[in-house]
Amino acid sequence: MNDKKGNMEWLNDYPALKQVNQNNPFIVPEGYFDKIEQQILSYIKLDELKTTDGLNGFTTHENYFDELSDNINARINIEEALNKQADSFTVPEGYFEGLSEHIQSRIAVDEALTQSDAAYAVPQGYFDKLNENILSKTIHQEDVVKSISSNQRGIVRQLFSSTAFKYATAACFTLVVGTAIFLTKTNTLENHNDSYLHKSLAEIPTDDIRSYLQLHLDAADTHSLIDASKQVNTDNLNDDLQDELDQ
Amino acid sequence: MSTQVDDAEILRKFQDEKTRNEAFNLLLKKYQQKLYWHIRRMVIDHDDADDLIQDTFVKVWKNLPNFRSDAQLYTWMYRIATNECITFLNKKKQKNNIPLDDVAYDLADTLADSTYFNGDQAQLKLQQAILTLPEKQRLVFNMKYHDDMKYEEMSEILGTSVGALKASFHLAVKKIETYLLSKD
Repeated sequence: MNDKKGNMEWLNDYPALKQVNQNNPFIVPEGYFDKIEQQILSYIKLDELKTTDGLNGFTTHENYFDELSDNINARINIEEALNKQADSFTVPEGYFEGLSEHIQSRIAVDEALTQSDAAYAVPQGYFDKLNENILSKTIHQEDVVKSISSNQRGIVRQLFSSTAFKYATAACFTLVVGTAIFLTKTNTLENHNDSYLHKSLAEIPTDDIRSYLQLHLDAADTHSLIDASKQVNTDNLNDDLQDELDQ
Repeated sequence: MSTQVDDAEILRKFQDEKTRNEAFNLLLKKYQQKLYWHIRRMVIDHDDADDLIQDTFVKVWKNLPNFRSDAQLYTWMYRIATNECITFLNKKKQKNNIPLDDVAYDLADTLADSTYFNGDQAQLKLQQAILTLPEKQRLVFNMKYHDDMKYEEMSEILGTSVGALKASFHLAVKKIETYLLSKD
């Protein structure tokens, strides 16, 4: 800049202005220009951080902004679809006109039911004891029965599991089997001789039997006699038949 | 002023990455007060001037690597500061929703209430007279009266022809003289 004094001759043409003191009438806070330099440098640093980073330390994952527009569009489509679905719900015609009446009548019915329930009374504290009573008659009783039966089962198990009982059972079983075998083998003939049929037949005379046979015997009875003879006394029967044929 | 480093030396140092901060500190020392007073005369209020001087130097820092050496450094910085002032005043008009003519009254009130104005009655009257001028005339008058700047330099700063600037200045001075003579 040039020397101020040298170029101020134009002021001579303006006497009123020339009379005004040309010193700077404005002032600044004390020490302002000592601090302004540092303030400006700090301001520039802050501005650089804001400009170079731009994110103030925040970061996003890679390709975030490439995907962002697609994500936003997808989100908008979903929202629109949801709104359409919400709009697609309908109600029967005149539904909302009668809705308040329906609700009021429903409330009246519920209140009436509540009042009718209240008309039945129970003794005071009934429901407090009811649960306990039911439990005492059901679950607690079952517990008692189970405890008794479990005790008795213990006794029975003890008896069956005792060694003396096992030996006694084996002895009884052997005795019964042995007796059965003995009786089967030894007493068959004696039993037959002692039977009521044998005794009755023994009392009938032989002639009577012969004449009975002559009167009632036919061809089919021959085989029965043969079978019977096998079981009874074959030799005697053959002799008898021979005698019969000889006559 | 004699101890201050030449603008060409500042620019040379600024081109080197190692001496860039040093160059900027030299630039700050050399021009901070000149630019501050230029801004202060336009916006009157110290706090507004404080904000604008900082914004101005931030822009200088950002744009200095692209500075064309065929222009003068200080006129380039004045241009930045002037643009900051004009932008600020326009925002103030829009924000307060006041007509253009009333901006002068608003600034005059600020001047009267300012704790950082230490002038006498004549100086106060002169500032009130200046505030009655259109922005362009205020700029031209301030740069000629306070900074004794050449028209060619003003032309670089304001982007206006020298002839137009001369005309603006004479109009401004006449108005001020009239104002000073006609009012108490």
